Amino acid sequence: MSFLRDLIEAVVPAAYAEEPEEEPVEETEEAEEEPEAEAAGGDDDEEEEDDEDEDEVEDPLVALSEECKNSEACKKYVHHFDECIERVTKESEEEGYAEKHYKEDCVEEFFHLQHCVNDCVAPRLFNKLK
Amino acid sequence: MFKSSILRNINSSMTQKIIAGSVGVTGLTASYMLYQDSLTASAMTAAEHGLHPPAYGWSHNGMFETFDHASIRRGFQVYREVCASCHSLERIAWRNLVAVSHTTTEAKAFCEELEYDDEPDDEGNPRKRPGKLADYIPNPYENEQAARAANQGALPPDLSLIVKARHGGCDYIFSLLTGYPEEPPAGVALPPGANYNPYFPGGSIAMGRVLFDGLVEYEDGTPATTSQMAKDVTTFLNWAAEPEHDDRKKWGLKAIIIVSSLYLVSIWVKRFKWQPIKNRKYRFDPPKK
Amino acid sequence: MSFITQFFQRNSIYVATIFGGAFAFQTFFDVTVTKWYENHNKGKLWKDVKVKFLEGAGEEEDDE
Repeated sequence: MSFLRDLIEAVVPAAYAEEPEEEPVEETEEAEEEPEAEAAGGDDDEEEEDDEDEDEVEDPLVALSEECKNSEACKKYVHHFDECIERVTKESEEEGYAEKHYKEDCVEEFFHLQHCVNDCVAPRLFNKLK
Repeated sequence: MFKSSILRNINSSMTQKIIAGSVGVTGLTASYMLYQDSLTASAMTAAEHGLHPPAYGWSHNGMFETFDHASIRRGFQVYREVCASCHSLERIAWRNLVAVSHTTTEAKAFCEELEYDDEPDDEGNPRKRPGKLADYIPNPYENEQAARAANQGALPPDLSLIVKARHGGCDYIFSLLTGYPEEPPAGVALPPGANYNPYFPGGSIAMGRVLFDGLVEYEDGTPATTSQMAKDVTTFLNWAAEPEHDDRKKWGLKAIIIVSSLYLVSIWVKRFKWQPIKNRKYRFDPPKK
Repeated sequence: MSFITQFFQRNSIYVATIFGGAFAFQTFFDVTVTKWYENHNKGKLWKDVKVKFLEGAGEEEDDE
């Protein structure tokens, strides 16, 4: 009945009063704190442990990317990328690298690899997130 | 007379040969140099355009899908605790959060923590007052110069419309936030203070990676992984850019229903009106003589 | 038949019916679409989310 409600609201002058009372506010905060406290076990020490646990939470994106990187489809891109890194690193250790007019980089190889990984990760990632 | 003409003939054929030869040499040299240059050309490269983000399954994709408001709420928390130290959100007032991601009480609690300029007192001295719902979310910096000075000359863009303002929208923002590799690919030279991000056109971005696992603590117990925070803050920023989104899609649904029914009615009316005209038959009876 | 002629004869009735009909249809249409839309997006809307965040608080707030 949102339409009727809107209509009534448009006609009837209703200033949205300030907060009804202070009390419900406090109630909210208390109520919000309680489950948290319960979950954390109440004690401060245990909360710290909780924090540590949270730091250990594995990001599904990292796991998925790793999995996709090792998949059959992305194998050749990994190969090209690794080869490029090897080539460029070798080149950069040569004498006179700093003065070189053109220095190769591995951006393109990285893009191809990342593109492959993305295509594999993207359809699955959001199923693992809230 | 005769001699000189022979000489001229020889001369002209020699000249022609020399000209032809030099044109050939010049052309070959130019082609070779162009080819050499093309081997190291760095215009219109992939890096210049940035890596295209993939399409993620946002819960608000689709014609009739609203935002996930729990995600907006978590995203605001991420914005407030992480992004807000550098990025402004100029076009969002505290009141905008009410009934979107927070209750009136909560939104009021946010703004009352802050001080805003009040009218000056009777002697003209500036005064401050606690924030009201109608106040806008404050900028982290006084002005653009201060923002640049604090960020090595780079200006953190205002985030109010950032999802609309970047190619790829949500997918781009999400990819940018989660896409910082451990180290830039070999051979990439970055200016001092810059970070590498493949999604950012050119690859060198002033903003470093900011989201790390467990950076914020969500009140609803959602594990605060990097990708979760990136998803939430992107949803929040999408809402900030398109606060009318949910209503717009509802109106769109209504408009589709009404307009398509009217269209069908108009087809029926047209056929109804044209029926006698289309079905009539002219007959010519020639007068009998 | 007489009802219809009656209906068209009195302009006041004719106009009032159109206006009333438009109003009734608008209300019905809006309510139906909103209902479907909110059911389709159940769990994502603020009114559903609010309940989750304020669980147990049992308070009514004016949120608009």
